[in-house]
Amino acid sequence: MTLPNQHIQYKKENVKKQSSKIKRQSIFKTIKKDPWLYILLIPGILHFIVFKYAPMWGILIAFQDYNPYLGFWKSPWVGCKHFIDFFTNPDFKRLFVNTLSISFYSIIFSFPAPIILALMLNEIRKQWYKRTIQTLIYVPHFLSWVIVASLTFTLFNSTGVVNRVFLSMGRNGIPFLTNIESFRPMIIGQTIWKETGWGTIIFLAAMAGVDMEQYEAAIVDGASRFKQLWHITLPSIRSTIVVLLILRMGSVLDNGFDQIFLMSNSLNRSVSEVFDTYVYIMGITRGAFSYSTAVGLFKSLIGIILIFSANKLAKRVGDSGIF
Amino acid sequence: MFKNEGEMKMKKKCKVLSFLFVLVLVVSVLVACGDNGDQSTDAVSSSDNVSLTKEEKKKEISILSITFTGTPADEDEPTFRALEELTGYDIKIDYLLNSSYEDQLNTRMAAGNLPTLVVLTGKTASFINNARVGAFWDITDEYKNYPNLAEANEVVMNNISIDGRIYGIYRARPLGRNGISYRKDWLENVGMEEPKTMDDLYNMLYAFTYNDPDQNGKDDTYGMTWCKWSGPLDQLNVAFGGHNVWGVGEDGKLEPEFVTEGYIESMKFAKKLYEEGLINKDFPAMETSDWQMDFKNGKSGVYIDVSDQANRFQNYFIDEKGIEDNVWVMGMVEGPHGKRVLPTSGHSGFVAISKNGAPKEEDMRDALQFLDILNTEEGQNLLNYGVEGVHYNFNDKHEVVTMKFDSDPREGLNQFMTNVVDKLYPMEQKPIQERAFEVQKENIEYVVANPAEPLTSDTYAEKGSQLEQLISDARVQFIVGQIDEKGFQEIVDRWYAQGGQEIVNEFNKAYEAIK
Amino acid sequence: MNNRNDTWLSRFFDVFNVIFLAAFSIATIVPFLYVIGCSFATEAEIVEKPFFIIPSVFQFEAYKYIFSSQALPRAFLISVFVTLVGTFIAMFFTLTMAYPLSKKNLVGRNVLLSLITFTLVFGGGMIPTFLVIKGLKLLNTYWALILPGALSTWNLIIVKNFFQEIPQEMEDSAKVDGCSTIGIFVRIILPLSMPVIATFSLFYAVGYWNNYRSSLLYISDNKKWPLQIMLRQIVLLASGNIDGASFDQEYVRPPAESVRNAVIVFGTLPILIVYPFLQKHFTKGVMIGAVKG
Repeated sequence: MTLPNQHIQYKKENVKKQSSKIKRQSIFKTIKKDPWLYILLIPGILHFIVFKYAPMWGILIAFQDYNPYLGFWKSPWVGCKHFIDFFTNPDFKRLFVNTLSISFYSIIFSFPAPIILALMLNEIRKQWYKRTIQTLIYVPHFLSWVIVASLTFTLFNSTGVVNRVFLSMGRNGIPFLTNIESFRPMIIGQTIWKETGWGTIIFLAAMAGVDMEQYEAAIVDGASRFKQLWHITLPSIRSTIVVLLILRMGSVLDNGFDQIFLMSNSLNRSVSEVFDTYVYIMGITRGAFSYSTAVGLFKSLIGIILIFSANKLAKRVGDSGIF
Repeated sequence: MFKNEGEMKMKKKCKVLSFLFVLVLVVSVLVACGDNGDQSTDAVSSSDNVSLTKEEKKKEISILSITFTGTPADEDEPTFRALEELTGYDIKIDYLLNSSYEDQLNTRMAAGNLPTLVVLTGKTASFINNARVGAFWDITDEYKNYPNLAEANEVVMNNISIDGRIYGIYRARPLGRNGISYRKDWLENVGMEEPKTMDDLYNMLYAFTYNDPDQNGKDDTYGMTWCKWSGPLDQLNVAFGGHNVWGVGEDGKLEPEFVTEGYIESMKFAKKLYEEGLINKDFPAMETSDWQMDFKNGKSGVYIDVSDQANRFQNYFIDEKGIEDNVWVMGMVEGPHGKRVLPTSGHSGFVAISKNGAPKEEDMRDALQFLDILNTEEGQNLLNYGVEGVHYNFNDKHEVVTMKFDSDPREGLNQFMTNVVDKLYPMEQKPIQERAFEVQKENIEYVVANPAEPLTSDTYAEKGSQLEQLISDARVQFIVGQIDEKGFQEIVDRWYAQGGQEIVNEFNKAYEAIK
Repeated sequence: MNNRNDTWLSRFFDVFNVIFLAAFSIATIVPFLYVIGCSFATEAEIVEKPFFIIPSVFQFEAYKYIFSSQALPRAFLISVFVTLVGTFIAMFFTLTMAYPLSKKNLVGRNVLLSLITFTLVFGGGMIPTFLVIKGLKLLNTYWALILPGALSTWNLIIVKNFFQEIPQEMEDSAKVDGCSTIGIFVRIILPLSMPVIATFSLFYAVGYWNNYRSSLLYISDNKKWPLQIMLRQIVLLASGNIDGASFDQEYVRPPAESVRNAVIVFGTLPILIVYPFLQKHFTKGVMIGAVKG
């Protein structure tokens, strides 16, 4: 026996109404069951509101010709002018490619480096050796890019150590600092040298949380070293890797201004000019505010889209993602 | 039974902890909102009234100055006290770190927080914008009413003007400051005289590279060091006949420097130097911070920059190597069209009067009067040299001999010096400093001004620096041989097409208006 | 420990591992040794020798210069204060917010997390934040250096993730014993998260210690400046600023090259000293036998 359509419709609506009412009741019930859980949130939420959301109106500066003396209310509105300027710039495509490719190489090479290094460290048996290495490799993180650039110059210029080695081997010297082909590898190389050691900390912390008994049990079961790595160590850092990767997506159009600025010069400009350095040079005659805010807004938009997509992707392959 | 006890203990502990948590929460909120540390010396425009006696209410003035060391002069410093006495004002100075000056200036402006007098380091884009919207007083008509300020150099005042109006008193720097430092001893060793022409300069560079000027039997020297900064190239450009950034062409109109023959010639000269190894091969990648290294460690012998740099090099050799008298200084050599010298702009920024800190016209006039006093003979010498007996002494020739300090206690006070007048006591100088001073004086006759410096163009404000980068990159690419002359021309064409033509038109329009 | 099921491949890997890590450590530490060496060297040696570790002539001028003004030791203390208090407050904010967020059944979880993730990429910028600080009357106080950075979105999300990794059984067994939420948080979760706490305390501490931007903007009283902006100023002074042009040297005498290096050593030293002590918390074996019934 079938009920007429209207009847089914009526029933559906009724069910919906009832279920939302139940939902509301159950929301309060759930909170009431465990109020402390929500009270714990309060300090953090306050902080977000005051220090992160209250200043958000600054995003609107991108649509003005903001002047600090006039302030927000008196500065003239220009709509999408800055965005249009930015996108119709003849160099836009080149900037986009440069920015994206450095970021891309960074994800392929610089992102896994700390993971691999952490795994290697984890395999060291002598604790004193492991501790010593750990204490040494994170140091470059604290050197400023100015120093790194200066050291790079000393090592890689045409009369520097590296080239002298090449020459003594009978090969030609390579202009590392000005060559178009060398720029991206140099940038990635510097980043790996500088940040890998520091980057291992998070993964080591994740691995530290693994119960030793799991390893002992595995050994008793006859698992090889590699099997232990694959089945115990890696899973312990898997979710950390996924979260870090998703978060990394948010900064895909950021390149680290200081490093790029110091390494760029007249001869490698075609590959070294990225969004961040471009905004800097525009700012010299233009004045810093609205244009850079507009470009920043563009970068943020792309970043947030990528984060949400990456999160969805992660969930599809069974990870919990960020949310 | 054991389990029950454990249970009860757990319950108790959890309760205690919950309580503690709330306590911590409440306390931190209270602490965060309550104690704010010392009350901020926030806006200086409404500073406390330190009235001395009933009749005498001292005028107050607040200044925003720059510190380079982070430890600027405090109020007990003798110079500071003397300044208050001399001017009769109650002075309050805030210091900003020079490395973040722009940012701090802008935030304070947004907060409505600026003191009366504000030191600005240059005619930057943000200053131009701010002046136009009225953040600073237009003093074009007022400043001439003050005897000392009226002596300000017209050319420099013109240079700092915006749309024909003047918004501050400039901080004077010598116009003819540029000069060439070189190794005097090397020159002697290769048996040459100080170069007078471009060919002489070339020969000197060649000898410094290939004729073993340090006489150590090794081929380890070269002529001249350059770095990323285009200063030396710009000086050569003008020397060869090019414009100082902009100039009047044969048709009587303004044109950019890179269309002139002189510019191209200077590029070719540089290319020749590069190809023959007379300048360092890595100059396009060298940072300014490393620029002086090769001269200091005896690898190169010529350095084109400001003339006072020679004295600093000499001091290095004296202090570190105990060598005296091996460095000297000269002016730019003659080019194919005679002696032409690139000037500096004549200023290193200015002191402006903010509307924040001087809301009424009379405040503005007070500020101008203050600046005027700074330019009397007493005022100028006080700010430049300090207090006699404390910071300097006179020698028998009545020249000033400054005392050496590890960390100058007056730091920051001299940043709002304007020095638009020339009433300084003479200073005791070493021969090399005297010579540099002479060079500077000689240069004045031959400086080539930039007629576009006081002009504004909207298109330039939009994309000027980016277009400039296009050309300066191309110049370097030409010098190292990456592109040829045709390639350079193509970039020039691009410059015109991507906005340069508009800039030329706009500058010419503005130029016509003020001719 | 030799029952690790060793094959020859495994032993080969060990040797390779040891050598590789040694080489990498040398590559990372040697440049810093050069910086330290330069801080004790004369200007002539720095300028002439492309590389050295132990200077042939020791001189302490650079360090004397740094300590000559009372400003630097005071700035040092200010930085220590800000770092310690800041780290404590930041960990408080981070841990308390991350825990509830790690619970999948939290009401409004997705909304909250979306709003939080949003702040990872979107921000108001320098001037709006400045105006907020001004509005809170925190300008020129140390709180302006502590509070804005007291909750990093990035840190929060990762800590939440770590909390999610803790097996539910741990909490369940405590619940059965009658422990409240706060109790579970403090007595179970936190002790189990020592590696995480050590790691992020370190991250926040380094963040506070190295931060100079906040001081640049919010502190106008030069007596309240913390260490990093003073140091940064010295370094920039010595190198002529990042902008390139031969800057106005006439009225300011740049300090010696060795000072530039001494500044780096001085500014980095505290972290370098503290780090090994925190290091033991990232070591394996912290969670022995915790799940036993």
